Amino acid sequence: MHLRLVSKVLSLLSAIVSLSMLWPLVWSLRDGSSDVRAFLLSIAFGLALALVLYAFGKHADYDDLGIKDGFVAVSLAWVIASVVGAMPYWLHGTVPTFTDAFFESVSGFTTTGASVLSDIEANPRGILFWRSLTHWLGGMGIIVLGLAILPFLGVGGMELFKAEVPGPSQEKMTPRIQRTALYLWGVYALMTVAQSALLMLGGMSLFDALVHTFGTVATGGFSTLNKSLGQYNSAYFDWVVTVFMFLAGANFVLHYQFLRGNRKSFLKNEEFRVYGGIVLFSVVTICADLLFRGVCSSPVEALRYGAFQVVSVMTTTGYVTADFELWPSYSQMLLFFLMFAGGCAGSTGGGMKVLRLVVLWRHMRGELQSLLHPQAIVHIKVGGKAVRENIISSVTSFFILYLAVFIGGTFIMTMLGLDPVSALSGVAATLGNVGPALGALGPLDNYSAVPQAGKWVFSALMLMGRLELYTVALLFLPETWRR
Amino acid sequence: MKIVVVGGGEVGYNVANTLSEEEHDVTVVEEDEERADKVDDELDVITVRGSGARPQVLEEAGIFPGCDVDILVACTDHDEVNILACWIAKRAGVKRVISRARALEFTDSPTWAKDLGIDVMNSPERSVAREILELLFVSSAVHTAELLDGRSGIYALRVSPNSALVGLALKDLRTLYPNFIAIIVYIERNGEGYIPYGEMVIQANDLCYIVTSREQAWKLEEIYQMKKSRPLKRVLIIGGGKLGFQVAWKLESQFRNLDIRLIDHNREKCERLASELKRTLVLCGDGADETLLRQEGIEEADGLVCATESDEANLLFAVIGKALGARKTIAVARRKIYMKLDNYMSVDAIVNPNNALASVILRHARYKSGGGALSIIEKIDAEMLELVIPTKSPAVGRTIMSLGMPKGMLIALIVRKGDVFVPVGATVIQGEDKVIVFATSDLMPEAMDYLGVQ
Repeated sequence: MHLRLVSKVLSLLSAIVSLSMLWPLVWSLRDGSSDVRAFLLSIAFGLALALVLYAFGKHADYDDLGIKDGFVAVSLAWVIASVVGAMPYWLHGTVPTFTDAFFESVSGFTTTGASVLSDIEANPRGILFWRSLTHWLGGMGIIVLGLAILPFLGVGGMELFKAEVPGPSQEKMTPRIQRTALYLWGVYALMTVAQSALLMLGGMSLFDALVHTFGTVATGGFSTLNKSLGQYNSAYFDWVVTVFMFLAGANFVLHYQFLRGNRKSFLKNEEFRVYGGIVLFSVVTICADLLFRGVCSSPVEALRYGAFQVVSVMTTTGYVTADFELWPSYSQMLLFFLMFAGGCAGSTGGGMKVLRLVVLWRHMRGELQSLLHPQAIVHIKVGGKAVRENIISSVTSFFILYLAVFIGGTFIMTMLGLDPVSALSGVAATLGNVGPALGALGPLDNYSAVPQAGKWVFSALMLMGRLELYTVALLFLPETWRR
Repeated sequence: MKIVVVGGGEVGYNVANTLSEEEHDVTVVEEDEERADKVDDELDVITVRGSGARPQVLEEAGIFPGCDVDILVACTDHDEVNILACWIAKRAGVKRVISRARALEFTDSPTWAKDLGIDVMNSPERSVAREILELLFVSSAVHTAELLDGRSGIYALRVSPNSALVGLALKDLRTLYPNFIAIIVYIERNGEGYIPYGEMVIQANDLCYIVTSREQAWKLEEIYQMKKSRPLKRVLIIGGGKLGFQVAWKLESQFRNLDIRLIDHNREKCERLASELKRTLVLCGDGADETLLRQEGIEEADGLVCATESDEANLLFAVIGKALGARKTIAVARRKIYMKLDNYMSVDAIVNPNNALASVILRHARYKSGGGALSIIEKIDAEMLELVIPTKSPAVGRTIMSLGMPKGMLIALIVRKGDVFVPVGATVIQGEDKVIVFATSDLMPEAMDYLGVQ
């Protein structure tokens, strides 16, 4: 492994993260609020860190970037981004301990949206904006952003790209990785502009519109309000956010193709069809559940709340407009399982990704076929294309690892004193980057009561979920660190 | 530019790698899973899996009527696939298609390529055979490449410490050897490369790249190595494949009194070679058989060419041959990494058909006037290009000196009405002159601007 080279890559990331604090600083300066000093110090800290890292890796050559370096650099980049990103909360005194600040920062970058803040509205706008900006940066990926704006990463950038972009296999939009990264961010930025404009048309201020847009397109979930988006109680906002959450959970390659004039890009894509199917099924059954069990009085209301919650959880956004803990058990259980599904591969959503579920399902069907026809040669296909053997095996082992981490995490959390429902759903919600869980961590509660050790475990789970397990798991393999 | 490379083997991989580093949009089509995985993992390109001879696969790679692909390069191991891929691409409107040809018949005459609608058809075996011939001809040369269809060449020679050139400034070369028309275009000294200038002083052990006409090339050895050049008398070839055959066949036609002996272990192949070659003595045996080699006079051999199918065998045969007394040993190696071995093994020269092919393809991909492009010597980051000066060029009517060309670019040869000469500063450029320009790769586009060539 090229430690110096990794250090050089990390220095860039640290610089990007600290420079992006200039944006929330604008709000702080305008308001003249108490967090100006915290931001200035944080920027200084981030830049100093970048300088030290750069000085260490100055002479490294980007062309040497190998597979190991890619994984290590990406994992550490997220850790460093989270540490630098935690500085404003800590220095400002938003939260009492660094543990809390780190949790909040990780939750932001990984687009989880789990918060330790009890009274969100009491915070200055700079801090609130920074929380949401971390969502936005982490949604499409800080490394991908780095690739898009720093052309010199070149071929080595591909290793980084692979380690960060979610999904079992990455489809490149263009032959060159830099342009692919640029287009991805372009589509992402376009979506952000569109949603902000729509929210402002509905009467939101620029600040609130940006914060909620960042939380939506990144499938994050941080809000400026204590009761999340539900506090507005506006059907218009609910539907705009629902639609954009749904879009953010789709593969961005499809958005790109659609914008390039391929009107059938979404319908032709099998993963998207399944994704849409799952959402449709969940919305219909939950609406029925809500209506018949008497939670909602009218179908329109049931549809509004049902659709919002389903899409929010499925895409792992985590905005809430209704306290689903008061919903019937079928609805609660379905939402819990949707946390595992997540968005499509190549989206900003978390979870296991629909594509993996499709592959697993087909794989199981294929196994049944081979039982009936022992001599048949069965190739499973997704979207008419045969899925290669190594992808099937990586998907199955991902599934097993995901479950193992889920079970292990739940054990640890119960050991730390959480009740079973909170532990189970909390681990699922952090590993899947959803945010709100059930029990003590429900949509109207927050994570501040979790013991300190538990916050570190949750932070680790969020990072593992965002980087899809393997990237982080490799860090713990001694072989990774050998030359 | 958008470029589709069909075939991701040794040649395709290298071509795709270089082109993507030059910031072209490259798509590689490869049928073999393992090769495709390697390309996918290591290169910044799009990989399409499937046979390049299938229109459906090519369509996936972006080749369909009305597409905007600029170049298709077909370099699989199969001529049929290459030709079909080129044909499909040409029909889809790809501007230039370049194909590798393994069977020698396809490049025997240019009509095949023309009839098949392929812009460039290159047989690496053929160009490597030429290189081997040059290396045998100027036996002290470490690298060679031919220019102007073989009328001139570029030869890399090391300056021996006792050569009269040591300590001489380049501008005084001409006074010392008034009848010897040659120009040094590049000097490699202690691993660093220099584009020479008048005041530069030659040192012992400099590796000089010299452009000169073929008739005078034999003099190079006397000047640079203080060795009496002697005509070729005996050449041994091990391996009777396409390359071995081609070398023997060319040697037969170019050197009347040469004693050529070819060794191959396959009897059937030997029978066929014996019937096809005129004067070559074909021997059936093992290339590492000491008795056989000694019997056939390896001690007296001026050259030993090891051209079997196996790289490793070729390198070892060359070492054995050198140990047994062959004057110059040349090994054929197809894998790129073996090219670096000449510093560690007692082999005089290693030639690489894949490299040769890759550089031809790259030349055509880089320059529109691909047909006039010449050698890129792999080891140095410089290129030679054959250009015709348009009559409207701003350079016409001016002396070379007054053009104010940047350092790192020089005009090596001019062909005017059939005469080949090395220009001096006072030479006036005329319209329709064919010039050979030497420049570092980054300066080449600028060099073309200076001469008014598009």
